[in-house]
This record gives sequence, C-alpha cells and structure tokens, in this order.
Amino acid sequence: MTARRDGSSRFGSANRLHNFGAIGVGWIFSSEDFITRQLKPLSFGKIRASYGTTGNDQITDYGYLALFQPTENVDIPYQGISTTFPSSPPNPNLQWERTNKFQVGLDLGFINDRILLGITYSDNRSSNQLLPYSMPTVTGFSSIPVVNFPATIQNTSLEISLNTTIIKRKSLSWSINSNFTLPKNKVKEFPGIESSTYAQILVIGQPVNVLKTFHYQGVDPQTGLYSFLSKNDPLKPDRQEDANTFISTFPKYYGGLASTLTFKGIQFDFLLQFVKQVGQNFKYFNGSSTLPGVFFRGYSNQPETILNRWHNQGDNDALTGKLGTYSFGERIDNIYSLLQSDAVYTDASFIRLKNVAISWNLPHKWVEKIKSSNIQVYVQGQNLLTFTSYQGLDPETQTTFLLPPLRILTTGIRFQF
Amino acid sequence: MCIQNKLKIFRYNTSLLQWIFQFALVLTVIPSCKKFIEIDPPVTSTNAEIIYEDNNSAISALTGIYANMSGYNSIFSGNIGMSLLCGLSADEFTLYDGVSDQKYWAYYTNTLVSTANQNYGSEAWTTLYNFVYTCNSAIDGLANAQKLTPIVKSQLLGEARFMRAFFYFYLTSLYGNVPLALSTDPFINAQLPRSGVSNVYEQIESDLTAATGLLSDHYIDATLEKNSSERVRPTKWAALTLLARFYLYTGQYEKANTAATSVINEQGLFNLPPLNETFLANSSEAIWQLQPVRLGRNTEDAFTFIIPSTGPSDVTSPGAGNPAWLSEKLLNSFEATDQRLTNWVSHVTVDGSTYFFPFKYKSATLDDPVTEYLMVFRLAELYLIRAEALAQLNDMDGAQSDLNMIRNRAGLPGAAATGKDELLTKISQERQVELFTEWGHRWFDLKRTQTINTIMPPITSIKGGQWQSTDQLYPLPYGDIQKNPKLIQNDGYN
Repeated sequence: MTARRDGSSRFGSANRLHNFGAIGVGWIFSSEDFITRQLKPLSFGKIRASYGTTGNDQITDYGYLALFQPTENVDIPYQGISTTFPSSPPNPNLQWERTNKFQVGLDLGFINDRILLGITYSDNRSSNQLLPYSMPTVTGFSSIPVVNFPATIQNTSLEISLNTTIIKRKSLSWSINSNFTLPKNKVKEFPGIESSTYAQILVIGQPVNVLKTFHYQGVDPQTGLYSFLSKNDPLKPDRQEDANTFISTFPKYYGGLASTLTFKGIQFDFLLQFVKQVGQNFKYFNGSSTLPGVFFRGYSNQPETILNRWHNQGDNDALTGKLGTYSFGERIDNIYSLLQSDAVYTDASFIRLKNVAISWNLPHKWVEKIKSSNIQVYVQGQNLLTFTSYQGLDPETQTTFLLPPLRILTTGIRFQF
Repeated sequence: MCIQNKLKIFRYNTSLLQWIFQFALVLTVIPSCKKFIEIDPPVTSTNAEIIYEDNNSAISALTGIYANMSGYNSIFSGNIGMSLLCGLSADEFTLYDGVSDQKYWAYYTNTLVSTANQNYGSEAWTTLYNFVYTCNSAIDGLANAQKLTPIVKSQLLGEARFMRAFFYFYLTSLYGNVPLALSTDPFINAQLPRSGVSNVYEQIESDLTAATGLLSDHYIDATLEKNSSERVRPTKWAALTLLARFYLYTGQYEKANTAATSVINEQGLFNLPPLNETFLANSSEAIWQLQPVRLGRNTEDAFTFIIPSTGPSDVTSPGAGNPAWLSEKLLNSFEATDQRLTNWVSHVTVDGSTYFFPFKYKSATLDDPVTEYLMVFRLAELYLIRAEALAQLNDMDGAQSDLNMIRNRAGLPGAAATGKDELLTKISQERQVELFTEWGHRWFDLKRTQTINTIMPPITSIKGGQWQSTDQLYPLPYGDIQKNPKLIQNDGYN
C-alpha cells in the first residue's frame, strides 16, 4: 500500500499538486495446508489483485501559458526591432493525467510446476490524458500542443499463458509454451463529445482508432461509378449521414505457440504466431489516390482487380469502376468515397510459422577424432508458412512499398575447438 | 502480507509520540511544497501574462503582425498572396499551362474544393484567424496592462483594434458570414457558429472607430514616441481609409464620403505623385505600407508578377515562379493613351508569345537596394471611394472631379458622363485599371456591385471552368467543419 502527493510546475498554478495511491493483495494459497490436502497435483497457486492510480506530467514545460516566439523568416527586422508572434494558446487549467489500474490474476502450477498456467485480467482507465488536442483554425491554431483530453479511455486485456513440460527425461524432453491475449480498447466516456472537435472522429464505445466508413455496395452497372449505402445518393455518400460502418484495425486477439523437442543430440524448435484482425486491403489502386496510368513510387503497379473493370453499361459484376480521364470534382470524389469505405478493409488475420529450427550435435566420440569439442549441424527457417485470406501482399506489414518479412532458410555446420 | 508487515513495524517500533512528531513534520513540508514548485517565466519564449507589461515587448508583439504579413509564405503578397489568387478567381490573369500545383487551377477555373483530401480556397482563413487571435490576445493584454507609457498603450491598442477589423474585413469579404472570435480562449472559439453578417460589420465598424481615436495622426518609429518618415505602422489615416472602404462596401455613402474626405484633406501628408513614384517606399501616396523583411529582396509581388526573359514558370517554392500574366480582358479595359499601360504594365516576348505583366513594383532582382514597399492602402483608392459615394449621393460634379484626379494622373482627359449610372460605370472601370492586381480589389468589387454573376460566366468558361453563383465565396477548411459541428460550409462546397 502506498500513497503520495506529487507536485509539478508544468501545470497551471491551481492544479500543480495531486494525490496518488495504490493497494495490492496477493495470496499464495498453495502454502495453506487445507488446500494442498484437497488438491494433491497442485504445486503452486496464487491469487493476486491490485488497484492504483498513477499520474503523468511528461509534457513540455510551460504548456499552460499563452506563449510567444520570435517571428520566423524575418531576415531584416521590421522597423529595426525584434518581433514576436504567438506560438500557442493559453490553457490555465492544465492538470495531471490520471490512470486507474486494476488487475486480477491467477497463477497455478501443477505436478511440480511441470504445467504452469497464468491468467491475468487488467482494466486500465486513463482520464485527463495529456495529449495534443485538435482545434478548428478559428481558434488561431490547428491544435493545442497539450491539453487534458476530456475522454476516458479504457484498455482491458485478458492474457493467458500455458507452459508445459510434457516429457522431461535425460535423453528426451518436450515442452510446449503458449500465450493468448484478448485486448480491448474503447472510448469509455467523453462528456460533451457532440460539441467537441472530436464529434466526427471518436465514437463512444468504439476504439480510439475507429474509422467511420461508408458501406460499399459494388460498382453501379449504369454509370461505372462506385456505389454506397446512402440516404440520398448512393454515388455521392455524405460523410455526416452515411459514414456509419465502424472499423478498427486494432487486433481482436493474438497469440503464439512454441515448442521444443530434444532427443539426445537433436533439438527441434518451432514458433507459430496468430493474429485475428481487420486490415487495409489493396484491391483498389493500392489504397492510394494514385490512379492507373500515373507513375508514382510504390503505387503504380495495379492490383489484379483492375482487369475486371466496368466497360459498358450493364456490366453487373465489375470489381473496379470505369477508367479514363479523371476530371476534377465528381469522379475523383467518387474514388475518394471508395477509399473512405469499408471496401478497402478486409480480414487480415493470419497464422504464420515464424521459426523452425533443427540442430544436431554430433556424438562426442565422432567429434573427438578431429580434436573438436563440439560439432553442430543445423537448419533454420523463418516465415516458412502463412495461412491467410488477406487480399494484399502481406497481412503483417499491410503495405505495397515496403519489403514484407522475408522467408529465410539458413543451414550450416558449427565447429568448436 | 505487505500490509501486515507494515502494521507490525508500526506496532513494535514506533511510539505514539514519535508518530505525532512525524505527522507534524509532514504537515510543515506540505505548504512549502507549493512554493517549491513555483517557477520563473520561460527564458526562451515569452507569454501573454507578461508581454504587455513592458513597452518594448508589447511593441514587439504588435510589430510581429506586420513582420509576419510581410514575410514570405504570406497570404498578402507573392505567389500565394491574395493579389494573385483573387486576381486568378476574377478576370485579371491568365494562368500558365505549366503550373503543376492544382491549387492554382482551382482558383483560376473557379472550382475551389474543401474535402478530406483537397483544400483549395481556405488557405487565407487559417492565416487570418491566426492573426485575429494575435489581435485578441493584444486587446485583452493591453486592457489589463499597468506599466505601459500611456502614449504607447493607446497606439498599441489602436493598432490591435485596427488590425482585427482589417483581418475580419478580409475574412468576411472572402468567406461571407464568419464566426466572430473576440477572445483568446480556444475552447470557446472552437465552438463558435457563423455570426450574422451584421454582427461582423458592427464589430469592424466599432473597432475602426475606436482605432481612429487611439492611433497616432503622424508616422512613428518603433518606440511609438518619435516621428518617422517610414509609413510602415498603421495610423489614424489607415483606420479612416479602411473605414471609408467599409462604408462604401456596405452602401453607407454619406459616411464613406466623410471618412475619405478626412484623409484626402490631409494634404501635408498625402498627394498623388507621378505614376512611377507611386509604389516606392514611403511614397507620398502611401497611407500604409509593409516593409520587406527578406534579405536582398524588395516586394514579393514583384518577384511573382515580373516575368523574366525566360518566360512564365511553374511555382516551385515560396517566392519562386511566375505562374500568371495579365488577361486580355484586363488589357482591353485600358484606354489606348492610358499611361498606366506603359508605367504599371510591362511585357516580355518569349518564342513569339508576348506576355504582359503587372509592373507596379519594378524590382525583382536579388540584392537590389530596397526602394519599394508593399502598398496596403494608398490615396488613389480614397479618391475613387469618394467619387463613387458622391455619385451615389447624386453629387455628379464632386464625383467627376475625384474621378478626374485619377484619370489626369494617368494622362487621360476628364471623363464625360451624362447620368449617374454612366458615371458609376466609369468609376468602376477606373477602379479596374487603377487598382488591378492589388489586394483582390477587382474580385471584391465584382461581388459588392453584384455584377459578378453576369461578368464571370463567359470569363470562367474561357478559363476552362463553369461559373456557379456559389463560387463567389471561397470554401471553409474541411478540418474546421469536421471539428466544429456548429460551423456550416458555404453553399456549393458539400
């Protein structure tokens, strides 16, 4: 149990001091006789819980003052004097950021800790977060460098890890380690969001990186333009009214599975990784506004979908809209609507065999003949297999102009003398 | 367990007396903590709480506005200046084919846009509101300032109120009914809806009227206490000029006449010099100019408008590129013997094509001595304001005499007009050829005289667009519309 009162000169004079505290309990129930008597295989058991508040003042100095800086780009002083210009608006109410952290956990060990199971649930709520705040330029600035963000952001996660040693003998051992995480991020509350500058950007109950997108309904057979679910005009959806499909690219869950098998001098390892997520696909113009025929680094090569494009009136199952000269205005707006629709986001989940390694330490008597202390033959592979339905180059990097993780095979012999 | 341990320690090791002592110690430390975290103001920058408490720093804050207006990347001059962009929107320029920045084409073909991906037309909004914030900060700060010399305080407050009116004048001329931000609190300003046009006008009028009483009636240096020959700070006469223009724009002709007359009558300060001396630094026509602040350069307008022997060129960086030349329409508006055509217009022939360009500012050579300042207000406009106001008030002789002041300087005979309408047409035509490519005059004149919807359709079609009546207002920034639900975009930009 701790308690503290912190002061920081980085805040307005009324808000410099703040109280923080934390409390934690843990109970190793496996050391109680009545439990061990009932549950013989249990070798270790612990329940833990903690709750605390922490603060943050890691911001630039003097953020609460309306600051002035020397005027930029002035070589010859105006009327011979040095001049100043505002660099940030006042924010006298700047105060401590607070995070309330709650965590419960259960650690269990069975059969002399051959099986270890850990479950942790945590719930962190940050309020008054110190973040840049976006502002309409009517205020004189497009953002304030740091304010107490009025929203409460909740991050919960459930983490499970299971480590087992299945076989443990002198010449043979086999262990499997696995972990699984179920994260969740959402805007818990945001008083006055409707009238705030984030009314169009954040949604209560949705993650902070939520994207409000149009719902795509295919290429219009008559015009060759992209159409969307819309109250008024499917070819010209309105951002305020029709962008009602929420998408977040945060992973839904992820985890890994690793195993090691050793038999005499031979060792075999692998690591499997899995992620469930939604990501940007590159079905349309590589996700950019660089259109077919325009040359631009990383974007010019068109995806296959361009082949099945709209040609004539009545083409019903075209994947891409009509091509041709793009005039300023309507046509380009239609393409921007597409790029702001759910059409460019698809499932990007994957299971990937990240690592496989086999090594063999040659028997001692062979090694001694050439006066070596150890000889190892090994083969290693990285990114050998990927299972995914992602429509793009690589579900992990999700880009068209950076190199995806390479598949690497290494083999070698190591001598030690 | 942790708690248990602590309790045990307490039970065995600490007597009650000791505990009280420790508690008292903590109590004495807490109040002094407050003092401990008090800090001095920043050293490398200054702030609104102290900047208006000292003559020099207060003057530097207001002078920062002029330095910024005059610097490169300013919306008031050069290749992103209003003189060029509003001139492109109107009928003053022809845009060079090789210009690659879409923004120029959007201004030129009257197809400005405001979407998530393209924002053309809202550039001035952002800058103007940044200036408005500076003025509001100064007005707040000066109102509470205790330590300034009275004469300094009065001049600075006058400058701040004049400048706020100046920026709102351009905001409302470009964007229509704009939000009226009068405080520095960003959280209040972030939620402002558009004001009624009358509220903005009332504010402009009250700021200008107040400024007229506060500002100096002679030119002063940066101490604000000594006379100067430099016409680079706003004076009472600048405020009266904007007031006269404001009254003309809003159809208050009697008041426009009075305000213009009080400046014109100041003959000890202002007269109409020969054409080739008009735009020189501190010319006798200048009511307010901006001193150049870039090394080795005269005005940015000269660098943008004067086409070199290599011909027009794409805009590449601030201050580089010659993207436009004078349109046929404007050139044809000059009478053949008009000396402005030889004095204020020049031309260059490249590969058989002749390009006529504005030559009001004549120095576009790096490291030329500084002889020209950017003209903000000049006397000729006041004669034209008064001519128009008098014509509207049916004083034909007075109107004609003012109009002829301008015509005679340009070597033209007096205008013969038979009726009020004909005279107004002549005045309008005179404004076109006198004030061309200066501060968007032509664009604003077309709007305020409501001739824009008849004049622009054929012009826009020549320029490669299609005129819509909603094109006369520029769009608000997309980001502002997104961030402030109470702010509604101008018609035609959704």
